[in-house]
Amino acid sequence: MPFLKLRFLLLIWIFLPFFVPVYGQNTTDSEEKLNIFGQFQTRANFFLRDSLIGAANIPQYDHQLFGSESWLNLQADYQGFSLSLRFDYFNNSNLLIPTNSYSDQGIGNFLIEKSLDKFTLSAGYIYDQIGSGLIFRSFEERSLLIDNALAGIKLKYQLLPDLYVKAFAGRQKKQFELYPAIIRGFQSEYFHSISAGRKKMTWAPGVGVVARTIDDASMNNLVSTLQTYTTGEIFIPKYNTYAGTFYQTLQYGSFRWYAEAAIKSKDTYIDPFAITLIKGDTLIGNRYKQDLGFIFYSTLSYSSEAIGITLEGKRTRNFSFKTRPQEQLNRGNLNFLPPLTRINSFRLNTRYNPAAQELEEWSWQGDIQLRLSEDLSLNLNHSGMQKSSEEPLYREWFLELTKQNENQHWTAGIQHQLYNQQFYEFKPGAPTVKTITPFAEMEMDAGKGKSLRIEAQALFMNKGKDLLLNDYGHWMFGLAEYVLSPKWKFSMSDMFNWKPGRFSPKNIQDKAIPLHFPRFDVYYQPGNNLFSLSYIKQVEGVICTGGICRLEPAFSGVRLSLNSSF
Amino acid sequence: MYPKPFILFSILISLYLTSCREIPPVITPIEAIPVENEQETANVLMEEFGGVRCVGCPAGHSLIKELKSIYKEKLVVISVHTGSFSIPYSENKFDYRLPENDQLISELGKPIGYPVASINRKLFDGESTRMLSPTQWPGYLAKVVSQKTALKIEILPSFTEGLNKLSFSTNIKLTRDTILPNLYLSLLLVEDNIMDYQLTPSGKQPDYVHQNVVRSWFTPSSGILLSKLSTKENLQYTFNLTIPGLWNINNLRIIAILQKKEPNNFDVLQVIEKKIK
Repeated sequence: MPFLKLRFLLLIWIFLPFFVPVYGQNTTDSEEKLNIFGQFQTRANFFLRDSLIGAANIPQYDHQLFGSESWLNLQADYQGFSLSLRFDYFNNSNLLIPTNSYSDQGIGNFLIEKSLDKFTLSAGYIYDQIGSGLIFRSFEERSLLIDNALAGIKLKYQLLPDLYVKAFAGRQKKQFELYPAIIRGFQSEYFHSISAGRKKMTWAPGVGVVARTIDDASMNNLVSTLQTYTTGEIFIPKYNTYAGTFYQTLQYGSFRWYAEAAIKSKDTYIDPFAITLIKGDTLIGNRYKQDLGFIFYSTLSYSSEAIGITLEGKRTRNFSFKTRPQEQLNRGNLNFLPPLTRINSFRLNTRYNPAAQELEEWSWQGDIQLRLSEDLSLNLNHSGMQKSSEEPLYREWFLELTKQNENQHWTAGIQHQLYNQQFYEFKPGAPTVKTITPFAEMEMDAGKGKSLRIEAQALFMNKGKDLLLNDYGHWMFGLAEYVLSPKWKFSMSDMFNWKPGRFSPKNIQDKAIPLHFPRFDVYYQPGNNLFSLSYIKQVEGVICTGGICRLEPAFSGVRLSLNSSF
Repeated sequence: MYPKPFILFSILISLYLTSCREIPPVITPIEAIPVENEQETANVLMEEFGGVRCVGCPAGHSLIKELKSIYKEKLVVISVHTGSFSIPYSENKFDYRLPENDQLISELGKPIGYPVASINRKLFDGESTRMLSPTQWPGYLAKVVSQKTALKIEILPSFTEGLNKLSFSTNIKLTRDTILPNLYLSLLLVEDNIMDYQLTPSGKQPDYVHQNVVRSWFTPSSGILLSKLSTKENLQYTFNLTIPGLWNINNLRIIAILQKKEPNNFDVLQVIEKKIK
């Protein structure tokens, strides 16, 4: 059921200009004018089947051959009113489910906002978060087709210049429908500043509460499932779940400390690693459980001209918070658990990404940015993730040196990763991956708007007990990018699996063979439009955005995209 | 210092806390359902999708075994090997993939992960897909297990030893006068107790016992259109198949499915199974 009918929304857009006084358009005050602006994004994929790399056996490769996604976002501001509208189009798209085809279209987002003195009223599809998102975050992440907007009402009231309260209620969006569970929440933030000698100290605390009420159909389904459980496993599920958080940011001079503690009342969740004994059979996998949950998350940082240090830690226990217990993976999330691992940018450094764990996690990160001289800086980073006292799930050590002057920018470094592939990718028997990845980048400004950028990386893989290289084995990667400002950019790269491993694609003789994964891109940017045409062969892998990850199958094809703003 | 905000805050927190009390649902463990009014209630079809490379599927199979012990012959299960997880290992004795299996999953909608199953090919209220994860199976089974039917199907098999020839006919008629939409009949053969390789959480298991595996379809998986049904005369269809030597005739069952085929409605109205021997 769409939140609002397309015809109604179109009528608002068509008749809106008739209600705008003419004099308003001639005044210099931007608040008095009607401002309309927007963005358009489209991506078209032409799928080219390549069964050797695994780009096959989905409808797009087998018979559909083409798929696309488009978003048109329009926003109008007038006299304190703000109206935004987004049209979403999906045609044989592989974004929602990478192994399937999805077609639909409609109003992806609609929001009216009005500020009235100290009040701000919002109605429609709302994006917002409380604190760092541990108990509530509604957001859009297009690369994974996540759109967790809250369809409802939000009221914000500025009680004092330094204090506001906010309340909201609604239902979570699911593509062009809504989940039935009702979500309501409250948030308040305060800001206080004092002078302590020559330095200033600021303190910004906040509190938030979110409640979710499960709908009858979901509860009936849950009850029917629990009825089949053994007596020892059965619990009485709750219709209402409450989550509360307290967070604060304390800043004193160059020091900044953020801390957040969140708790959740007894809530039903799916334990994907549950071990259950049923009539002699050991069942490993999804099983409903109910527990209290908590998270503690903190960041301490210091920054000056010469040095920047950040220390982070997080402890998570039973904090899966979904719109209904039946939802799994990235679906129906009410909250967001921030990842405490380095966000890497080079291709081979990003091959192994650990997803934030909802049910049990200890994670930490330390980062040092050191300015060694005028043009030389160093970055040292370590992060890790652990489930109780079991063997390590993830470790990363990262060292990077950067040297830059007016015309050149050099980066070189080395990364070591330890990644429990069996755990993160549900690959039974897969040994823990240990990699060493040296990398280098050089960017040269050739003048007259011309520049050249070259990247080189190599990934060296460890061997398992059977002496086979783990996962896909050794990799090499090279990229050359040439920019002709302001309109053109050309890029070509190749990711080469030069020494295949145990999971590398195999030919019909069942032999793993070295494979190239090339990519060619042309970008053209006239004004506010950016066109790109790419030929892509991409290996399967875990794609993460923030702490949210999913296993993406291989891609083979041509991609055409356009990003416009107006 | 700031009375107004704290009063408001206290009121809001009080509202949350005082609304914490709720009347909980009642959970009564079920061991097995009584089988009664067999003539009136329809059996339930559960189509489980997966393959020999699907690491989560053995957990799904255990749950199906548990559900079968509750619902007994009211629940008809078929295991459909399809998708990238069904590509056989070189060690597998059989390739369980069939074009009709791929056609079926395309029609019902590919899932986000495995194992999944559809129940009566039904799109349940509040769901955007027919592909249900294992935690949803018991709930939706309970919802459809008392579904009434006016359809009676009978399967009459005959098997010629030596020639390995299977011949059978299906008789379909109404048990009472009623108006039904156009119905489609699907017929297939499944085999139980096949010992073959399967990926499990502890690795590739060579002696995994596969149950309910679809071996062959006699019709398209989406069925053939039936002529008009009546309460008096049976509608009869006859099929033949030569059974490959490696299939165990003692473990083979014929399954007949009657379903609707309307825009976005493929609900199964009746399903029955019959052992060949």
